[in-house]
Amino acid sequence: MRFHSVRRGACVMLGAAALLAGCGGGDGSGGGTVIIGTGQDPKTLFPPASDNIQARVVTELIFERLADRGGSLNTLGDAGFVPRLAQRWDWSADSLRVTFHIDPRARWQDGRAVSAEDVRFGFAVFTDTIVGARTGADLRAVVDSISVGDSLTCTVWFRQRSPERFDVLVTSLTPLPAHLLRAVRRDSLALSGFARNPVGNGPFKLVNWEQQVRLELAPSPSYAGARPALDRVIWTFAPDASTLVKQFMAGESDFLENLSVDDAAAAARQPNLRVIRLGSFGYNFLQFNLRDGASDRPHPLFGSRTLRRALTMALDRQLLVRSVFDSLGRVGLGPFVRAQWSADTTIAQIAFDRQQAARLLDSLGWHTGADGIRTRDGQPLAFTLIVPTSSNPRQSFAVLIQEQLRIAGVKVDIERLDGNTLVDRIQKHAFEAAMGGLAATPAPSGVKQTWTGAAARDGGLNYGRYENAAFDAQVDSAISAGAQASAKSHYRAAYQIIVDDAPAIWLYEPPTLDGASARLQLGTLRPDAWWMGIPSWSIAPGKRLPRDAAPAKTP
Amino acid sequence: MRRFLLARGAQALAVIALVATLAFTLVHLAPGDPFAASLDDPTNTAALHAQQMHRWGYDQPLPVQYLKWLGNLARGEFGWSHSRNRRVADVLLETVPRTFLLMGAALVAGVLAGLALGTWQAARRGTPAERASGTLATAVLSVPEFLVALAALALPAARWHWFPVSGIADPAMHDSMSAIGRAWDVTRHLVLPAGTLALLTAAGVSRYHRSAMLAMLPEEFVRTARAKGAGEYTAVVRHALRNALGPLITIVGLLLPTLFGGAVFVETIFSWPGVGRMMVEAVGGNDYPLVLAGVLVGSVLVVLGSALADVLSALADPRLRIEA
Amino acid sequence: MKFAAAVLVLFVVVAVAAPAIAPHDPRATPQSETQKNLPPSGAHPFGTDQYSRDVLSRVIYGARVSLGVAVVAVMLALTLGAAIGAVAGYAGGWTDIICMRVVDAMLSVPRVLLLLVLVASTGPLTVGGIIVLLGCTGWPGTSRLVRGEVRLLKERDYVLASRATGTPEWRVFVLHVLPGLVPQLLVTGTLALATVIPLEAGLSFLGLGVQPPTASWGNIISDAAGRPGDTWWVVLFPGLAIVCTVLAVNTIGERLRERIDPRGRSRT
Repeated sequence: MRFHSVRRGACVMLGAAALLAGCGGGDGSGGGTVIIGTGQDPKTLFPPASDNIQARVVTELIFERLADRGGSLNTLGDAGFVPRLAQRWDWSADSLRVTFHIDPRARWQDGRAVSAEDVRFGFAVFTDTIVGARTGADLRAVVDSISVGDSLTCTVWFRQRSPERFDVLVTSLTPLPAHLLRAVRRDSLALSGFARNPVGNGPFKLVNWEQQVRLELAPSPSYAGARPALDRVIWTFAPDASTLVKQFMAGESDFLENLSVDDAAAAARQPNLRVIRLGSFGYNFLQFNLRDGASDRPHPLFGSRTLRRALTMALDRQLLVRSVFDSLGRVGLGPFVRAQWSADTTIAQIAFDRQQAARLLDSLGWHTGADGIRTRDGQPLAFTLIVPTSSNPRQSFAVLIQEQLRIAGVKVDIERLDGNTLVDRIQKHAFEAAMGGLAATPAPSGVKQTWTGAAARDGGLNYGRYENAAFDAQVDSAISAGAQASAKSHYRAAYQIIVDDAPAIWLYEPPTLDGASARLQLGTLRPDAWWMGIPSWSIAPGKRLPRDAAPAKTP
Repeated sequence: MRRFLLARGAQALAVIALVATLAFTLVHLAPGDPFAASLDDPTNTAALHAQQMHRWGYDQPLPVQYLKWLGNLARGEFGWSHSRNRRVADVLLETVPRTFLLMGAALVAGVLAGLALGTWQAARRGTPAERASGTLATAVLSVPEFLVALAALALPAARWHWFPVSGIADPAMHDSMSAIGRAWDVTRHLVLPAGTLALLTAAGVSRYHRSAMLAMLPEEFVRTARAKGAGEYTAVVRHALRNALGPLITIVGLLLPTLFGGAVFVETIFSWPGVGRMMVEAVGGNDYPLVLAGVLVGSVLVVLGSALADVLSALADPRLRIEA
Repeated sequence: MKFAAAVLVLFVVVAVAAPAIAPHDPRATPQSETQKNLPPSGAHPFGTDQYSRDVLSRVIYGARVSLGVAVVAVMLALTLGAAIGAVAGYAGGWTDIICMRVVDAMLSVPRVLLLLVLVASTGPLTVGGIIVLLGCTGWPGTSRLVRGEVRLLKERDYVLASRATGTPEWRVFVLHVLPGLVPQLLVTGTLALATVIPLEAGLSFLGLGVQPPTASWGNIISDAAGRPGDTWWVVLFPGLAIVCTVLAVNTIGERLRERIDPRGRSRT
């Protein structure tokens, strides 16, 4: 009842605001408000510095890139890519250059036209090591330089004809407003006011950001494309996962990412909520350190390929995944996820076979001792598995694996570490086995940074230091293959080699379960970037709440 | 009096300086650093990491970092928060008032309720109702804050929808409300977290106050009051209450650290965006400057509280001035 | 008092005899698919948690950890406090000033904050580590008390007399001063237990205390705190265990204090 008076007052104020602003961005009556619950603030809204997912979500709604990967999730060539800031692009005959034609209607949110110079400036900032952009290295590896034709055309010069060069370019580079940022020292860019009050060129603009409390976006009046249907998108921040869930269940938020399986089940029972399952872009595994700690000696146990294969055989991965995720998780197949175009579900797996595992272990000289644990020369077959305390599924898997391996005569000691310590330990190779997880992108070439010999050295991300020249060669061929069919066959060969070598036990692709209020009309969510659909979200008619009518605060 | 104030002030400063040094040493012993790759984003390469460490001076010897930090602190500069990408001072300006609001509301409500309960208990001592209320107060004091907060979150908020689950204001409606509407909105969000802390404060205060009142009761003036024919209740309330209020300052001073500690849990559970939640998040993110600032704020609050209590007591009791 | 003592004895017995009493292995996850999140029933009087572990058994084993940690930590704190307080009280001068300023500094940081910083600087802890941490943050109050008593007592005749005979200071302290302090230390220690038990639970709740799968009352709760509305039994039973223990300890401590403190005796 109390809301009535507030609401009426709000309508009056809304009319006044629209008159004052005199903007053409819609009258605000039809859109509505979506509240998204999330755990963390973005660290920054300066695109090159964005390093957490929340920063990506918000900056990708405020800033537009030259083109977008679109729903096809293809990463080869430019097939399936959708024009955004660029209306179109032409390739040179040798396909080492591509010229982008920028949409002449595109404006920065301060009214300035977006120019080709902004693209070149963005490239300069992203590739400047002082700035330390996460995507800078990828961009430098692929793009040699960007030249400006006229104010609306620029040409990108690639270093070589790598098939994913277009994908790397458009996903790693965000054009930046040169007229605002050129005067700022490069090493202070990420700390400047712009990082908290960005001026973008995308469908949304920042209205208000109160750290730890809320962040509000509204449709940008200067955006040339279709105006988003919503009037406001608001993120609220709560550090405690259970608080987020309660907020969502109580209707205080409309959307919540990454529900646990149990929470998803509870949400599905509530008629005003629904659960959306997306293709997974992460895969988790039990990673062996093939070397003895940080030394170059092989690990006494995991240096042996046969032993690694025997341990893989001893695990019933189907049962593990069902135990933790019910029917929602999927068994990992290798260093890729099913949603990538390179995925191949026909890779021959090391099947669960306790007898065969026992025979292999016997053949290696590990014989069952009195307490059920196998020994060789008086040494028990035992290792320590490190697990992050911050991840519930990984802890569950570790406990269940401990039990299954015990049946096989292998003693596993679980060491629980907090996230920071765990990362520190694996980066220093100070572990025997770890419950690892990697976030993938639609681009399968990421495997080069995580599993090849090159990544095993010099601070690379191949922490277990698996090295196999044949695997590396297949990955390189796959990455340089121009046609998808040929790339796929090389990836297939590479995956088969690494699965056979078992440098890790591929455990699961965690289910991505997002909860949404039934009042939202979401369309199809993209598995690699659900937030890219927000501009087309709307509130179902007849399911509007008082908060949908509250006016957007004028910034 | 001036000498007393100066001495008390110097002592408070020395304590805070010591806290700063201890905290600095502890925090920099931590494994990991502000730029360590996070679990699900291990893309921070070694080179980039080294560059960031150098950029912020974390590669310098610890004593150098310490002196620099002290120098900045002396100029009122708390440093840069890496996890929030802002000046620490700006973060504090936002979070400290919110914690003050939470603790202030809890103190006022808790002390008033505690005084009322304690007074009532003293007047009705020995009755079954009084005994039951005393046991209840002890029981409440035995429940950890986080359990009270969890229960308050699970039932009145999440199950019965009497109050919002979390936050400090309605995320969508607050800005469009009238001034009264906004005050009401914040109050609604304040009830459960402040109530959690107030419950424990009230239980503590009532126990102190009951004893203080009972200590006053046999004294001459109360007897006189009774003899004059005032009802016992009036005698208690009028006379004993006035005399028993003195030690309250000290009690509130003692309560501050407990209350602040409770705020850490309550703010985390109710997503109240104050210093307690800031600390938990900063510790998780290895955000050294922010952690240190949080410790300093906590200790300044406690030191100021106890210094203020000392000064007020000194004003009331001339003997103390000379002693110090 | 008697009831409180009985409750406490019961918990201690449960803790000591945990392996004999607990119906299940507190870590076992036998049917992780079908037996998880079961409400209380005959087979599982306190229900099961999200990993299908028996909550009753976890609460029983948790008593071991929670009580054990608290008792040892408090003893450590008392020992440290008595030692530092005695040194400060006897030595006087700069030693005294420095010790007491450190005490002031430590008392001026809310203990939870101090523990947060300590845990941040050590990383996740073993049970032993938590005991050390709780012990090392708990001594300042005791040391202040002991120092005060020492300064009063050291001018007493019998102390002066025994010093005149050439008995070393520490012997005087142990033989003559310490015995006089025992009742006060007993009260301090009992009441300290009542703060350390919830503190350990709180730390474990924040994920910074005792690490799973070792059960402590705090981390049993934090395991389920995600959904207390649904699996209330996983929160309620260990919560009750904490409250009952602390209440019993508090009651005993208060009574002990009343016996020692002459003002308190006249109170009721």
